[in-house]
Amino acid sequence: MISFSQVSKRFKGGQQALNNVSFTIESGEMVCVTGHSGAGKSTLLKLMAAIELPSNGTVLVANQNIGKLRPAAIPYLRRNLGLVFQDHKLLYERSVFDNTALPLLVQGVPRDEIGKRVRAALDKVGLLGFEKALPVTLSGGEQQRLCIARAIVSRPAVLLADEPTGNLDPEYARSIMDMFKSFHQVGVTVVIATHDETMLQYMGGRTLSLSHGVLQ
Amino acid sequence: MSWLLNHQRAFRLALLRLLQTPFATLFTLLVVGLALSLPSAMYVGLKNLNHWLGHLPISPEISVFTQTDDPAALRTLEQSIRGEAGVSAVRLIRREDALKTLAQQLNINDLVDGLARNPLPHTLVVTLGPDTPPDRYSQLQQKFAALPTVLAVQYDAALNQKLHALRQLVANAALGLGFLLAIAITAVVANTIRLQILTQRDEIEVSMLIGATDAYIRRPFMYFGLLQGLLGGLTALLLLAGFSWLTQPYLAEFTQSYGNTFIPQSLSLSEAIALPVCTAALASLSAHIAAMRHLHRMRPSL
Ligand SMILES: Nc1ncnc2c1ncn2[C@@H]1O[C@H](COP(=O)(O)OP(=O)(O)O)[C@@H](O)[C@H]1O
Ligand SMILES: [Mg+2]
Repeated sequence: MISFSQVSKRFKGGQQALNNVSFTIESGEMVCVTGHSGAGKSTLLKLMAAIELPSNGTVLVANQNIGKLRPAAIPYLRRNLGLVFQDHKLLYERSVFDNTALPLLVQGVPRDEIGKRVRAALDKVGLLGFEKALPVTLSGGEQQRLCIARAIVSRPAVLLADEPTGNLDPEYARSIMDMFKSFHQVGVTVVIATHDETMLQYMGGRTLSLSHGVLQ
Repeated sequence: MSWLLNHQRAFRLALLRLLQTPFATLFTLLVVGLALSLPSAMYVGLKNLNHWLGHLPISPEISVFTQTDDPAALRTLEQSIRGEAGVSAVRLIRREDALKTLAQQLNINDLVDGLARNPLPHTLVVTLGPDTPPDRYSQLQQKFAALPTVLAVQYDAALNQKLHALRQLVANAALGLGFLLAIAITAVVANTIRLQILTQRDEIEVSMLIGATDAYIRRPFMYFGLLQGLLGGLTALLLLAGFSWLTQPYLAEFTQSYGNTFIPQSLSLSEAIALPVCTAALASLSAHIAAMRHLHRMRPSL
């Protein structure tokens, strides 16, 4: 499903974020990416979604070579991925419903279909009944759930989550992690970046450990 | 079907954005309308000037003097003149009539009566179409001079040159105005699109990250431009109508002084339709290009 082969990423300023990284994630697998702050976790996830392009090496996602993708093909690749961003990227002047509906609108899904799917996604993350609320009225944990609802609303085959338990207390964080476990159980490929050791232990499964851009 | 749905949604979104900021929209439409109505009013003015030039009693003529008195020969001559390209009318002034007119004009009836024979020739007065270029006049002069029985050919070359130059100027000025008009719309629309994109930066960025195509993002801006162009064009028509209503009494006075042979011109129906249609097309194109440029600039991090 996802395969990195001798991938390096050097930013324009000269920052070497990833150095000769190789690994493969099979379809349906759940993998945690870990490492200190600045280790390159976010960069790794961004490469998978073609938000950044590799400086060297080959990134394959769903049999597509990210480095050689035509710009016009990138949106269609992203529609197969559910993204949970480290900085949330919610639209704060839009309702919970509108935020969740965005991926479906972008894909031209009919209106009643959108209503059904948005409610199903909000139900899964426990935000049903918050449809009309604005994100600012939600707690940090609820905002995180909203991000997850938006990521899963188009039923993607792959979920990429960047620090989804960021500033949450351990109990809340575990409930978020349980959600990812349940998505994994129904066959979704899940990749979670986290620097939180306790979460790592809670999740179990395979871990990719990064240190200064090098896979340990 | 999702294609149609996408366009419907983009159109509705564009309309919503226009309505969400009614004062800004009204202001923009007024600016676009004014920017358009000024050159349009000048265009109507030029149209009237050109029309007026065409109706001046001094439209240049060529006089062909002939020595023949034979009706058949006169008819042949008239026919061969009529056959030339650009000739719109040929009028025969018989020598008797010419002499009478001359006698009256100069008040020398006694003198004329005393003449043994009429010294004047028959004259064929040739009028050319309004758009005949000046060199055609000299061409025709030479041609007519070479025809049998022709004594001499005369025309006012200087007046003809001047009229032609004036017409040419009018046509060029109209073209230049069209150009100004295009630049005005492009600038105004591109600027509103730039502001729109700035205020919707976050939404655009998130949309791109979750799989929106460039076309999807550009579409509402294109419709936004299209609506602005269309409504701006209609505003310009309204302003123009108001302007011509205000100037109506003065024009009526002016036309009366010309014996009402001159009918004031306004935009024709096809011109009135063409104005908003063209501005809508131009504005959506401008919006499309502006959106493309700004999105391109936003892209590097994505
Ligand atoms: N857009 C960028 N431009 C320049 N340097 C960057 C950029 N993004 C990340 N970096 C650098 O790359 C390294 C890895 O960053 P990141 O992948 O965000 O780490 P992590 O998510 O593990 O904290 C850091 O040193 C960071 O400063
Ligand atoms: Mg990070």
